[in-house]
Amino acid sequence: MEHILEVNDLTMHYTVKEGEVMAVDDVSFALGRGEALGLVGESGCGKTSVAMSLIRLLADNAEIQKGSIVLDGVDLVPLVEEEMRTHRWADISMVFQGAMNAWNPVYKVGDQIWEAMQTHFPLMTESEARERIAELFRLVGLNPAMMDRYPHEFSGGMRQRAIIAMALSCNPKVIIADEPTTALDVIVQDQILKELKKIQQELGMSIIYISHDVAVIAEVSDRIGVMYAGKLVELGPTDEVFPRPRHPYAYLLLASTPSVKGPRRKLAPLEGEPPNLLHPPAGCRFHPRCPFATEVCATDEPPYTEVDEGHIVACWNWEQVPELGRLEA
Amino acid sequence: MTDRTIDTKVEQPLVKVENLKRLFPVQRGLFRKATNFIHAVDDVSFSIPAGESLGLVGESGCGKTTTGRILTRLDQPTDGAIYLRDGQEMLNIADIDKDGMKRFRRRVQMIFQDPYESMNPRRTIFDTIAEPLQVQGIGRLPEREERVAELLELVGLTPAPTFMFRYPHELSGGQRQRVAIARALVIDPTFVVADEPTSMLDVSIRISIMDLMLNLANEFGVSYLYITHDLAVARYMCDRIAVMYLGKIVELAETEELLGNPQHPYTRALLSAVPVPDPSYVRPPVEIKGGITKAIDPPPVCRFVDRCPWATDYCRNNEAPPLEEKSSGHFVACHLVEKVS
Amino acid sequence: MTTDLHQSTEEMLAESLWKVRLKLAWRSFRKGWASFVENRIGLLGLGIIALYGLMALAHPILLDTVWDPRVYDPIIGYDAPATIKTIVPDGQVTDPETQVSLLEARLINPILKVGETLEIREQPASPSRKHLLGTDPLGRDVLSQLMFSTRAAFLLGVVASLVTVFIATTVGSVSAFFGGLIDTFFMRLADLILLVPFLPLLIVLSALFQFGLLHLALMIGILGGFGGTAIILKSQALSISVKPFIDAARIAGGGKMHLIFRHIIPNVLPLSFLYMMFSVTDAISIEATLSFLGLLNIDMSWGIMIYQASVQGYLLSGTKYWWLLMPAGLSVTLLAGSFFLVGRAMDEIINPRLRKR
Ligand SMILES: Nc1ncnc2c1ncn2[C@@H]1O[C@H](COP(=O)(O)OP(=O)(O)OP(=O)(O)O)[C@@H](O)[C@H]1O
Ligand SMILES: Nc1ncnc2c1ncn2[C@@H]1O[C@H](COP(=O)(O)OP(=O)(O)OP(=O)(O)O)[C@@H](O)[C@H]1O
Ligand code: SF4
Ligand SMILES: [Mg+2]
Ligand SMILES: [Mg+2]
Repeated sequence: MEHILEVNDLTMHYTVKEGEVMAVDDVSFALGRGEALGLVGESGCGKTSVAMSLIRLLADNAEIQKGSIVLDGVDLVPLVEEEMRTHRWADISMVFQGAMNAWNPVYKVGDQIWEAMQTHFPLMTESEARERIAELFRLVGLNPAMMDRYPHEFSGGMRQRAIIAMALSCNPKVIIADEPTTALDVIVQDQILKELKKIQQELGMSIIYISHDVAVIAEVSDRIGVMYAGKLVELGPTDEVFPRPRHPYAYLLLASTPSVKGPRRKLAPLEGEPPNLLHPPAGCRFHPRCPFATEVCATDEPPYTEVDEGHIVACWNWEQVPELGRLEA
Repeated sequence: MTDRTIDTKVEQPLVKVENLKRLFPVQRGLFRKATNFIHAVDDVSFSIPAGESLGLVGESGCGKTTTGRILTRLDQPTDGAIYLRDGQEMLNIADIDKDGMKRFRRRVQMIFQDPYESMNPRRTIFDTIAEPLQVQGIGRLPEREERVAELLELVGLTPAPTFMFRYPHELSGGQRQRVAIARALVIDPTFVVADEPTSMLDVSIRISIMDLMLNLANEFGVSYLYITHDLAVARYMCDRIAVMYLGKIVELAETEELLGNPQHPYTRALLSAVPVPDPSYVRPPVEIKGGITKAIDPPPVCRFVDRCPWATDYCRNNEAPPLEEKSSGHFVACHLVEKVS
Repeated sequence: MTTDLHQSTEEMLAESLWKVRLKLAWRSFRKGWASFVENRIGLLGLGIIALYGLMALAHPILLDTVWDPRVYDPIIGYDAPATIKTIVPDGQVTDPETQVSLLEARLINPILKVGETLEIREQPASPSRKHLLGTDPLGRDVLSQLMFSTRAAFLLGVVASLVTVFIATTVGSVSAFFGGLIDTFFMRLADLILLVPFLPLLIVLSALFQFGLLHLALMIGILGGFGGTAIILKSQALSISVKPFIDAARIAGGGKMHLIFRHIIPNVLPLSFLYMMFSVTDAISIEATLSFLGLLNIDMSWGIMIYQASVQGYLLSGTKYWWLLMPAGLSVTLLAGSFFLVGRAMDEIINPRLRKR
């Protein structure tokens, strides 16, 4: 598969008073054209930090230490802000976590989208813009008439749809959806995920889904990357990783996800708490919580092993991890 | 409406709720009297046998929390009755006096959703857990200390002395929720309302909290009313599940029966919308559109009628269907689901 | 940090509960102090307060030891340095240190003639070795007055702010918790107090009654406590009374008093302390204003010092008699301001939103 985006050894730290928060550490992955990649991991493991590095919208105290982000042949890391601006939104755009609650309540939704578009289409007239917004609204399943309404007249699902419309406004090649359905009810979540999938296929976009919910990722993505404490610990095709995760964390995460389908199984709890990224554990960052840990895990960082074609894992003892199997439908 | 004392199947229920109703006025300017009402909970009846747990499931705003708050007497119902077993009799909790209230507080406890806001930031973990003992004058100080230490061990915060005199902000979300569980169980209640106790926790921690709650329930014979919006969680935690839609229970059955054989069109939609953590599983399409609204002075017909894929003119023109036992132990509120038994 | 905590709590358990609580309080004080120290402004304020505190403490000691009360007593002391000058004809003064013109001399005593000598007492006297800040028009030492008045300023500020905060915290918490009629009553009362301008009201009252310092402190405390501060603390109490931990305490079986005194008030208190600082500021400036207008029945205070300078016509004399006005005026500003600064610094500790990242 041809790659639209290649991320190599991306490392990003936040500097805080107490030291360095190692939020993204040596993360590498590639995204094919038209592919959907899912990133899962628990709160604070660095999912949003990866996304923000990709579109280079970093907090003041954040710095990309090393690595490259090659988007359609262009490395984004060395670009200055001016150059980056021509790529952001037009080539790579993002649905921000929690953005649906960030609409300005005193302006109409359509006007807010137009304002965001103006930086990229300064020559667009108002009627052209309205037409474009109407088109986007139809794309995400909103009534175009809604563009003249205020945010409080939108339900949660509609607000999120409008956010997606805004992210699509410049026809990006890659779109990052950071927790696109987290605060929504399941039925609305289902509608929005379906909508996103449809749009992705229609427009031939590539998409990176970010979620803490493995069930959502199972449904929407072709490949899945599991993050733990700033590290990408496993990456592989969704169809392979789910029945046979190789990393102990991925295994426990999947085994501890309750489901409405399949046998009512005992779930495996994950003991302990995720580490503080200011002082992550030495060796494998998962070793204090890992039931498979051996001596080497506490001292040496596990290298990436390709266990199958396109299925890599960072664990010393990946062979010990049992098969999880499928949920019988 | 009169004699709809359902769940007669449940012999010796611990909690019995009859035709519970709670209206909230919609604010209408400063001086005008409210003329519109949100029907947050409307004619809800169920009972919970001792030692069993009931899951209350539904979308945001359907009245789950309101029901839980009424059951713990944080809120008063507009109408309806709640009975709590007291020895051989069922006690109407609306009738209890001050002394009775004290006993009620010993027997009914609650675990809240937000582990960050449900603890006073200026009180230590010891104060928080010992609070029910303290305000009810149970035990002397050294005994309380011992009891709190015992509970901390029980909920897995070990060694207990290292946690006793910390402040809530010195604990993680999961640890706080363990403290909340300890606080709820410190006076040996028989009935605990748990309002989404894991929804704000990290995924990796949820199962250990749920397991803890299950183990303690088994050990001490506690029944839960387990409120959640997540059917998968309800399946893990509960013996029976009640599905709520806009203030009404639309379906109630044993967990596996409800999930394997959903009858109400809303339950079916809800169930098929839940993502499954298996990429090879293909979900059936969700048949309903639109989103949940608010039940502001709803017409007396079935509340689901606008979104229902099956709705007929009969549904649109007749009074809302009652929650009826359609097959053994399986209650559904729908005109179109036939009674089989 | 955490490991440190572990050990200390483990050791703690062997001790009795009140000792543990004392240690916890000490620990949280140290933490608060650490973030207070980070804030330069707060430290500056505290430094100024400490300086004035020292002055207040030092005054009686000085009077007992090195300062002769007949000279240095702030109220009845008297000292006017005298110089003997020879009277010369008008316009022939060559050395103003030893000579005085006839015209000027006759202003003091009309029968004087040229060639005679005149003893001139300097009153007010400009700062000298003996009187570091000079003397006032009655020949009293200004520094001594200044130090003596500091005590009054502190007393007034502390009493007024304690009364304010005690009333406002109680009223605010009770109103927020009970709501309804109680709330309406106290809030309308507060509105009323806010509506009537504070200073004019006090002016009228102090004209009608003889106001001492303590009366004034109580008056300011009561008006502040039932007025604006009550509204502010009530809104804080209100935001606390809807928190889930209040529900949790109810479920635990806590009664109304338990909820108010164990849950609501402890969470309002940090803000109360903050407003205590601000009401000290208010009290000191109000006292100065009322004294300046000559409405208080007290012997000496910073306000009185300025008042006396003004009634004797020195207010408009420019900078020539600066020591009559500046020390007192500056002290009012500095001490009132320093409490305000401490308040602001505390605000940043209490209010994490204001904290710098
Ligand atoms: N601006 C910042 N300064 C310092 N630390 C930060 C900053 N932003 C994030 N972090 C820290 O970096 C880590 C990764 O955060 P990130 O937001 O990427 O996590 P996430 O996986 O998206 O989590 P969530 O699921 O909660 O959104 C966390 O430990 C977080 O506390
Ligand atoms: N104190 C109140 N005043 C007015 N309306 C209220 C009040 N409490 C709840 N409601 C309304 O009653 C309905 C039911 O609310 P409730 O909190 O019980 O829902 P829920 O099922 O717990 O939802 P969620 O999943 O979001 O917690 C909602 O429409 C809500 O807006
Ligand atoms: S490397 Fe060791 S500690 Fe890390 S996940 Fe593998 S077995 Fe566990
Ligand atoms: Mg995030
Ligand atoms: Mg709720």
